[in-house]
Amino acid sequence: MIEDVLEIGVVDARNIMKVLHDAYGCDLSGFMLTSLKFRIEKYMHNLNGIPVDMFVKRLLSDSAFFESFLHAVSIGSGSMFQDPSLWRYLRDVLLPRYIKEENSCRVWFPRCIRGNELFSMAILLKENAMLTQVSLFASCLSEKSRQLICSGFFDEKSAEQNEQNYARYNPSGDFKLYVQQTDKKQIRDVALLEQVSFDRQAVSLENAPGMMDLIVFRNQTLNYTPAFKNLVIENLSKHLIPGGFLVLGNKENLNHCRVEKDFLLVSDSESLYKKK
Amino acid sequence: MATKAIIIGGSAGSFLIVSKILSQLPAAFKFPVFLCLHRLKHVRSGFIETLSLRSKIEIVEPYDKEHIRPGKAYLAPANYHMYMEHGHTISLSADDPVNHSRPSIDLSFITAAKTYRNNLLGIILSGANRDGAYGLKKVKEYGGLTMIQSPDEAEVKTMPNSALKMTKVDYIYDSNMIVSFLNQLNQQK
Repeated sequence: MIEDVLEIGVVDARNIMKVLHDAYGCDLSGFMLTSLKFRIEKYMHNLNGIPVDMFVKRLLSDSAFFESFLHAVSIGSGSMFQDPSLWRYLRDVLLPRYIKEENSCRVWFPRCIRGNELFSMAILLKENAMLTQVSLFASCLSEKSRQLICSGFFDEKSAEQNEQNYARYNPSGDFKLYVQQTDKKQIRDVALLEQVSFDRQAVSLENAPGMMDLIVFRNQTLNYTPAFKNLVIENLSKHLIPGGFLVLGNKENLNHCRVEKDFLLVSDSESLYKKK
Repeated sequence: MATKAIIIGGSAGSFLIVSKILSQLPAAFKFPVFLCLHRLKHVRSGFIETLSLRSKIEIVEPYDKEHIRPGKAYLAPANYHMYMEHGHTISLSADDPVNHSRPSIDLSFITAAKTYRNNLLGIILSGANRDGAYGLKKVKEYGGLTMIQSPDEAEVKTMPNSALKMTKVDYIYDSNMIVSFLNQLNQQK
């Protein structure tokens, strides 16, 4: 229950951020404090309401704990095939056209937390025989995120939503083909990720794994202050080839970003941009 | 205290009441109105268009970091939390659902309470769960005014009753009285 989550002060939240920065070089100062503070509080609540000073000590002394924390305070971009109209557009229009013209396509997911979009894309490519022409790159902020994704971790809380989204994306498909039932739980078919190149990226995403044709970065800038959003979008733009595409979440846009003039809005409803 | 913003939360059975309230507010309404209503996750269009049919004030689904303007209603987009921030902006979040809800009425109310403090009026309408009860409590704690739709009128009573259990609310009004109260607020200098 939300009322059971103990609130921490802004000073406490800033202290925790300072510890992350000083001890691990992880700079979360570009994150919106309201939502970041809430996520920290929720994480501390899940540790039986650990006091701030003990929490800080543990962060400093235990790097695995830091990795778990970083994973927990990162926000995913949504469930699998969220906004099915976008995935249909990628499947029916953008990717086939791109592959026809360029014969290949490099797609980057700069911030993978649970891997929902990565698995969605892999399923899309498999179902449409495009796996060999499209190279997938996935970056994680935390090693814990990468491990979870590669284990086939399946967030059972969103299982029903994933399946419903998939059915709207592909009414004739069978979502169960991609989810394996083990004794106690479901896991996603990790064979889908065999061709994916993973790396670890800092918060500001300065070093992409090369130049990209398509960058999928949905619902991530919501977490950023306007100044930090500007910086990150600029970094992404540097790694997108002219004529390449950038997908944001449907409530995000490039308005007031320094690189806004470098992009054309292809689809307002899907927040799909093309680099000039 | 002087009210500077209004936040309304509702779920099952609240749509017609919200529509009625918006249709009876004047075009020159002085305050921003934040609407956090539970809605289908996968349906992105239609809701705002229907609400706008009878409303004299503009209703928008805000983009992230949109500036808050008086006389405008801001509807939390499907599948996003909506936070009110210092500096008169709205931020959106794809954080996990809270108590199975995204948008979460509690989160919207809590952030609005912290931002507007004693200048906020929080209203909880009909609904089938307890989302919003804790948020309304925070509105009261930060000095704002609290109101619920009368459970006698509410189509689904769980939400106003839950709020009533958690907070000694300032007003328990039916929809006509809510409209009348808002119009009186609008006339105050």
